[in-house]
Amino acid sequence: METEEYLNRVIDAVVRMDKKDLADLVSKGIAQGIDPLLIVNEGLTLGLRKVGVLFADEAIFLPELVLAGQMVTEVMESLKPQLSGDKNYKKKGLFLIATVKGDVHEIGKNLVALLLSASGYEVVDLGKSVPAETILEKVNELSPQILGLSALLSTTMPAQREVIQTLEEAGVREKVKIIVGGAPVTRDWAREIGADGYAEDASTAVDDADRLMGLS
Amino acid sequence: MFPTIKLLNDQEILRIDQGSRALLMEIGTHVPNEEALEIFEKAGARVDSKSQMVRIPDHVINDTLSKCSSCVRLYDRTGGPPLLIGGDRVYFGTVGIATNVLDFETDEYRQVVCDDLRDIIRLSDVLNPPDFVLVPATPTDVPSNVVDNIETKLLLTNTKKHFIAEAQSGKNSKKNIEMAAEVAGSLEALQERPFFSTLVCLTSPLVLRDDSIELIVESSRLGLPLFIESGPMCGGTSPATLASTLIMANAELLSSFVLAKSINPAVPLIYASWARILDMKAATVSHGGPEFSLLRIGTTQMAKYYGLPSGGGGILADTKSIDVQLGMEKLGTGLLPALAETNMVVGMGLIADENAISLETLVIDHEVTNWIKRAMRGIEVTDETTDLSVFKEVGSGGDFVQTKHTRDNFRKEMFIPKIMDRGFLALDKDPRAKTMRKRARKYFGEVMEKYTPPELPEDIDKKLDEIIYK
Repeated sequence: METEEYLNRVIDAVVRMDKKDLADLVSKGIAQGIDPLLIVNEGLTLGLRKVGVLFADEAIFLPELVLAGQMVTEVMESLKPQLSGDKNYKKKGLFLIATVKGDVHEIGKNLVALLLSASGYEVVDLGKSVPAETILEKVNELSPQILGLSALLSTTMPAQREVIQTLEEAGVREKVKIIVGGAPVTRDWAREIGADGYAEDASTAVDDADRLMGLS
Repeated sequence: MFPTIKLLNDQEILRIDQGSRALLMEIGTHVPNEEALEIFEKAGARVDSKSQMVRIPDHVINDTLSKCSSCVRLYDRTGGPPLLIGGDRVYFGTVGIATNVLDFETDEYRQVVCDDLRDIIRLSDVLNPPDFVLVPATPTDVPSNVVDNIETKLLLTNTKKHFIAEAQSGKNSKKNIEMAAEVAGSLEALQERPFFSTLVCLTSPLVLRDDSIELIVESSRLGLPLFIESGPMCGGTSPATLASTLIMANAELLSSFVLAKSINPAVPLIYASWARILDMKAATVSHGGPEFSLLRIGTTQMAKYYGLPSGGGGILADTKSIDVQLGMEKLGTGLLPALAETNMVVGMGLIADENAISLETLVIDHEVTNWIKRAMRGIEVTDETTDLSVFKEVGSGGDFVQTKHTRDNFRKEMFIPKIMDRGFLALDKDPRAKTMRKRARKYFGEVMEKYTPPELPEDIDKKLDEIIYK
């Protein structure tokens, strides 16, 4: 099988969400000596991107998008031994994510975290209703490249601004890129509070992260 | 349990029944057709040949009802299982005889031509519902003496679903049957699996029109199904109480059933009604108001009282625009009859009262009927749907989106709209960008792009034309 044809089959398995087929294909590919990094970058990631487009087009639904994310994350996990030996392989970056203080809604945030890790980011999820001080501590401790702040309620949106202000006051704002998202959050709001990026949904969160990392 | 609705209690149903029987015996029905008068007389009715009035005694009605089937099987041309009309099953269909169309391209009203009828039949063929296709419009660009046969040809060439045809005379009804037999291979094959029914519209008050009689006679002789509708207008062609309008609608249907069953006890009959009101402000009939739904529930309950398959108008709208009124009228007149378990609810694709068809409206009605179908399924409470293991799997504070249980169940449990807008309010974009109308147009394009109509062999197509114009 030609590499290109093989990669197309990997993409297809992700799009069909056929877990067994995907696992078989990946182990077969590794056995045949196909570069695992190629499988990740040109197979799994592209497949997931297609799934994101299908979701945006309403051709598939939320639980299926989640399933695709879960599948790809699992396969990436299984590829870890091979990838860690590859000096060209590294995670795209460390992404710290949290739902801001006062807001207990985290389904959307979880979805973003899932798709980010399926897309090659190392994700640390701080959970829900996380105070600005805790986020500051974690930024200092982990030095993430990107910080994602989620808010579902218009009443908790100001807490996104508070986090940014807290980081500014501590003098660490410039060390990290910040993406905000959540149902009521708009691009205008993101600009107004001085965020670096805006995620309309889980798929665009990945796109925007890639943009901020200079990967797209 | 499934949600259902009833308006009349047993005593009230009996009163309507007794009222109808009294009308048929004491006032009688005008039957301007010698052959039919003879049939009625033979069946035991009292016939005054001079005034052509037929009075039907109770025992003849009872005898007729004893010959009726509680379930009529309507076949299609795919060879699949028939629609079972009767009991608690609810199917939705188009309806028409409209001569105007709200043009998809220009958004202007104009007269219906054959291409419009073809287009709406094709859209009816691809969407589900419609579960069956009652001829949705009357083209104005063909000779009026054969327009019904041309409609039938368009139905035969553009859908394999069961269809209900109209005919303006016994002669044209014969042609319809001949055309369908041609497509079926033989008359016997058509009789074995009738894939079309004939529409009969009765006239109020208490008249069996000559042409209606001819249609009943033609189909009854051959045992082909009849979809018989009564449509008295409360305050116009029936008294201004809804109860009396039910008495009238019921009486007219019973008299037509006596005629059909006296000709052939095997003829499959569907008891349908368009009993409605005369709007006293607009001086025209109204199909979108609450009374229309109430009357439909009433006529349906009468059909069920006699153990008959039921049908009638529903999912209708008086509005002339695809607007808020359309949504209100379509859902109100669709949901209530469906909850009363009217077996065949007809009205999809119609707008502007009974006067116009619209492709967009049919797409919207497709959404409305699927919404209704989900509502009718109620909340299923079983061991499977109340299984606690998924609660344990997720525990406290987690989410259920990521579970297999959600993936396995969401499609079964949730209505997934095709054209309703449910996205969040994105203020940085145009929040009204996805109006239902825009989405209906887009969805229309998507479904029709993939569609190929059923085609008939060229020689059969030719034979149909010969039958039409002979």
